[in-house]
Amino acid sequence: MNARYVALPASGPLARALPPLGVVAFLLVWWIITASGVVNRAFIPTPGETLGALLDMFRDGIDRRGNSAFWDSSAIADGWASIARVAKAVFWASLVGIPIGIVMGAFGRVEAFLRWVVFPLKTAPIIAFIPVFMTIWGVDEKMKVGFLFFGTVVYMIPLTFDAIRGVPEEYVDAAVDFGFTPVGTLWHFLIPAAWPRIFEAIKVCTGIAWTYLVAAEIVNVTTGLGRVIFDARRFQNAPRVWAGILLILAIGVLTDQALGAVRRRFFNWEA
Amino acid sequence: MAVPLIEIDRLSQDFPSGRGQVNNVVKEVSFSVERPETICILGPSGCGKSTILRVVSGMRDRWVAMPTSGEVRIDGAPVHAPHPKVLTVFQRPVLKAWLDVRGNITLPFRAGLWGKGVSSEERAKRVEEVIEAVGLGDARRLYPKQLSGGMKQRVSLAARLVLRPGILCLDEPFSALDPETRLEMHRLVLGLWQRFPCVALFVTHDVSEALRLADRIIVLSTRPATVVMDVSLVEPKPRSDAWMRSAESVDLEQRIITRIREATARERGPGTVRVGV
Repeated sequence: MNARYVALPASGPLARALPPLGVVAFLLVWWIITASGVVNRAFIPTPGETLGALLDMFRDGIDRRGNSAFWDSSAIADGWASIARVAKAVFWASLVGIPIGIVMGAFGRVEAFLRWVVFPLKTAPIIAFIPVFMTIWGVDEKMKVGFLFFGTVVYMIPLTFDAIRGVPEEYVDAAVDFGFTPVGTLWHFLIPAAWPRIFEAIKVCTGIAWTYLVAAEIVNVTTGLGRVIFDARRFQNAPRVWAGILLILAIGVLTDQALGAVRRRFFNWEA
Repeated sequence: MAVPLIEIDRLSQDFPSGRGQVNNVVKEVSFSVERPETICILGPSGCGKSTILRVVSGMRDRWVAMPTSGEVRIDGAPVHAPHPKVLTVFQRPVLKAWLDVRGNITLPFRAGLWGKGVSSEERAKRVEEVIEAVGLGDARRLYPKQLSGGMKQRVSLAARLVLRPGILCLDEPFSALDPETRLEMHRLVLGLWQRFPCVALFVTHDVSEALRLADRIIVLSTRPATVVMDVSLVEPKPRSDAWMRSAESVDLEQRIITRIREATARERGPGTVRVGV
């Protein structure tokens, strides 16, 4: 008998077939429980209904003159509004969170001073702070991005901190031996060594931002996939609710793939 | 008499080992180095050899003051900080994975301690020279991922030699390599030391490695490390396999092993760990 290894990705033709099979199996289970009437279809629509609603989301655009317009459809226009919010929030969270995480990781005293303030925040119920954000940023765009920023930066800091502390101490030993200053050590050794994991943190935070998105967009509903889902729920249009969820998942998968490709291209030195 | 290059003066190092106990790792180690030669510090695994090197190169432990007592003097001045004359080659070659071979060897010049006063032409010249010297001429554009263990250690060596250190500490640099590669590296370092003369403090637990490379062997006991033997070798280098098998060499090897065993037997007992401070 061949030796069998665990903890390895699958290979061969089966490896290509299994992921689509998993999706098919999931759709099948979904179809069985909805079509058979085990659950109320007012809450969970069938896959077919959901797919129809998803296609509708690409077709429901109407421009100012009342003609149908693809670029104004809810999938594209609201999807873009949501993507822009997530991107802005992650951008600011990186800009603020990564330097703080790096400084905390590199300098023990800064860490000691901030750790009881900064680290617990990641379990804070961010949604409960929405009134606070509203008093700071109003109820418009700024508040939505600010909310997502706050929700992600509290993860960005500890993840960056971990990335810096995860650098093997031999790097620091070598840097000290060469006589690098603390800043030189940070710049030439720690930050480059930690980059792959910091980039991973950006990826994780993008996912977290998407999970908070709907919560951000149902305050003063204007645009975005959160609005689509919220409106659909109000009119008890379950297929459209689920289509909105599917669209968010699809965007999430694409973003993950894209960031993964960037990482493999530019930060490929970690095994 | 002239001031010795390195003077290790009753060096002791304790590490706390939890619950107020103290682990006495190095105990009153003294020796001095008067001329540029290769000194092998030989001792069993975990006896505190690396600790001695860390003190010589002026590197601190993160948590514990080093040294606990005693002192290391280089050119007569006590060492307290990374010394502008001492560099260490570590057991694990820490290459910068995001830089190619040439980048790895050039990086040390960015440290203020070494880079000042070396012009960029001089740097480039030295980098090329040392890349050729360690035999990486064809690999200068490769990244660490693409290198074997032996090649990585060559890069690590080159990144130190390029700065022309007066004292080179080597902390079991070849212990992770296979025997064939290790012999190849021995031939390489013997050549390098002729070309770039320096004091080499070579820590190893391999007696035959010490016999091949050393002008002088300092044998340490198990924890706490004390000097149990200090012997100079006059046989010229490189030493042939025939010499390695000769009565002289085998006899020395036996004496070293016996000394380590005796010291181990003597130190085993309740006296090795001191309780309380």
